[in-house]
Amino acid sequence: MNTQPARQFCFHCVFNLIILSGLVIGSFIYLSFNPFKLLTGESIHLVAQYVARFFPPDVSSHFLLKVMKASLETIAISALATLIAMVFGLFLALPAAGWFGSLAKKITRFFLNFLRSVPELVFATLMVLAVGLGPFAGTLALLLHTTGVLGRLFGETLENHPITTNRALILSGASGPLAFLYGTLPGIVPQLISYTLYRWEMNIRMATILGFVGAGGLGQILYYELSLLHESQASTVIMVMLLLVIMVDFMSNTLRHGPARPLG
Amino acid sequence: MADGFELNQIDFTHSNGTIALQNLTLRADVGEHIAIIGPSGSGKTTLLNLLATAIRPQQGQLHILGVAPWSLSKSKLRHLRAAIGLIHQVPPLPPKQRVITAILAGKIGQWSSLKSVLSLLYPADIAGALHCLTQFDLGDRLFDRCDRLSGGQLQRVGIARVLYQEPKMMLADEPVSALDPVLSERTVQTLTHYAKDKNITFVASLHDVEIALKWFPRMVGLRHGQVLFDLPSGQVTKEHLHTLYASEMRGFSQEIPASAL
Amino acid sequence: MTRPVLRDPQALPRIFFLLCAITLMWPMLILAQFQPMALFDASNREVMGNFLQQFFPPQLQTEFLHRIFKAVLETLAMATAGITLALVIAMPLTLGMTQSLSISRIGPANGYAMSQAGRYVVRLVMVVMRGIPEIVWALLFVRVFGLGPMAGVLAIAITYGGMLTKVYAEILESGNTQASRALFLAGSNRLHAFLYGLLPHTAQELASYTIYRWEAAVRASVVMGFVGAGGLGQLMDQSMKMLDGSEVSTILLVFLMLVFVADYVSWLIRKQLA
Repeated sequence: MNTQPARQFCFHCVFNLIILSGLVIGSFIYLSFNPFKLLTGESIHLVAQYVARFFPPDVSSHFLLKVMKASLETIAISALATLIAMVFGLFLALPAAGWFGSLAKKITRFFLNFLRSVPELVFATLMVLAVGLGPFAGTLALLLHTTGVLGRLFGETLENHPITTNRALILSGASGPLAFLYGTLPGIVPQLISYTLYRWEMNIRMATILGFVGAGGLGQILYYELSLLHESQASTVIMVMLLLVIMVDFMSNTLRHGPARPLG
Repeated sequence: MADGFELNQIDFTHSNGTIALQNLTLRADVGEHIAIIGPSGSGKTTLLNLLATAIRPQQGQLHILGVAPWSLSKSKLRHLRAAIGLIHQVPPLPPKQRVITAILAGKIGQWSSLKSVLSLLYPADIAGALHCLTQFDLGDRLFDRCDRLSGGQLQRVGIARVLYQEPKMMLADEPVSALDPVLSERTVQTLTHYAKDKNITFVASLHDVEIALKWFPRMVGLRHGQVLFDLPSGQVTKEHLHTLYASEMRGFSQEIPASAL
Repeated sequence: MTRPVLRDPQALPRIFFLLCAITLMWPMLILAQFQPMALFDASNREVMGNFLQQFFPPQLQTEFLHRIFKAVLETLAMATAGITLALVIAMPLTLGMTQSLSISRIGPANGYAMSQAGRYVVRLVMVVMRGIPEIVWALLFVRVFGLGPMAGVLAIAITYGGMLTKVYAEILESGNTQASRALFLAGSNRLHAFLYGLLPHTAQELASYTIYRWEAAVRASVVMGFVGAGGLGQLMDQSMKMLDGSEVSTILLVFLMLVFVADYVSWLIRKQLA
């Protein structure tokens, strides 16, 4: 909070504001992008024309079937990737929480940060190179990125969890892994599952677009149809994507807050 | 050498610098029952943790059940620990775990890894766990989750787990602190009978001197990390107790290190 | 006491659950075409191996670094311009959304039904804006306006406009209306009471979230480059298509540094605001 009395002129703030405005305007200039040109009749006409090509969407049963299959593929990619990432994340959480010494912790955290920072799409292009086009590449890409995310979240959960239950079992002669299973895991599982479900929700959205680089799912069909200028087919795919997102949103809201808020 | 345990001139200092035990010497044979009493901060918990091999003394020699625990290999130490049962002051039970699993966890140090893992899917010894639990009138709570139990019930489950472990030496750190007087008495009675039955060494720290005097043949009074007296219960006099608890009765003029409480 | 039960009562539901999970796994593996052996296929390994080998040493030629520098500037400009436009879109929408809530909490309103209807329309528009991933918008804009960063800016403007609206509305709705109610009761109209009473102390939270979104926009700008929206992403896409591992390696490093710096800058600014 500003500790200066309200009346005093805040040079600091004005200075910051000028810099910020400068950066903003500079950005537009650098891109040679005049946003006001968008509001001209010509621009609007262009957009309207393009949008018109999307209606009516293609709802032939043949195409709908294709899209349905792609939706299931998308969901399968996201579910499988999230599931495997949960397991990997749990394994990596142990060194990340410092259970194997501080060197292992640093290395693991660095590795997890790397996986987290690289966007899924970049992994997807790499995976397409490694295993060819198709949903397997998408699954691997999501898996890598999500392992980074979940590994870090799980590691933090583990670190913040008291070790008393674990220690007590060690003192009664249990081996490390068993003490973990009986002593630590029951305490952290609810939080782990919560993180995993949250991540799955985001992964479904991600999985829809990985197809843009050939990694399967709805994205692959969308990219394909748009490239062939089949806007009415593309329109169907976009609507199904929207529907998928809305459904997932709705289910997750219901799971969290009980049947209450609809859209948004 | 005393084959229950033997502590010779033990020194223990906590990592924050507080001296918990000074030049402590204590011995017991197999089958002895000892009650440890003393004011808060006198080192009772530290002593029990030492006997449980949870912590390692900076000075002195330590032998438990005839072996020196800190010279053992990792696997032999695990083996020794499986024979030592420590009843913690605060039951170390995960809230979402079911009572049955919590109790069976007492034997995972003795079972094969495979059996322990499979027991998570389906409990390996329901009858055995039930038997231990019924001794504390909690038989009907076998399949409940730990977070559904009251503090006193949880403490009894913690005790049941140690009984299920079938240790060769039993240690108890304020095992009845959360129980009402009647239940406390009954529980201590159950524990002493169990120890006598199996002829195992039993050491318990208690804040209720009456119960200690009644159920334990040997009393050790700890004060400021040193043994003030080590006598058969019949020989403990009011003067002994007065000297032991003197600092507590004088009020808060004595600094009690938080870590030793 | 009841007769002791020697069977685990929760065993049956658990087994049922486990069986369900296993039955779902099989079609899932098939749909995702899960073939781990593809990772070890000889020709794939060769291509991937060669590619990865080129990562060291990374491409450091001056001309290439120059291109990277320009691409980074382009990416940053995209993110900044995009967030700015997103703000421009979000402000009226937020006002539209909170009309019937914050403002009606300040004082009695007429035209309640109209504003409720308006709110639902806004919500619907927002779902479309947020529900379609930004990269899809980017692809569409590339088709309309051609390749280049403009498509990326517009894509961010729309998707992030929707996100900002949702969060702004939430922040405002949970704000303390005491000051604004006082103003209203003292005679100002509802809009002014809202602007001068509610907005000032939520402004910091609003600004903080906006900066946080800017950081995400930087990463999104890179990703959108893969569909032709310029910036670092387009550069990486080109290098990958040419299987030039050393270039990709450099770009990846620069990307990681960019994300790190953006993270830091965002954290600095948000600390200053607090």
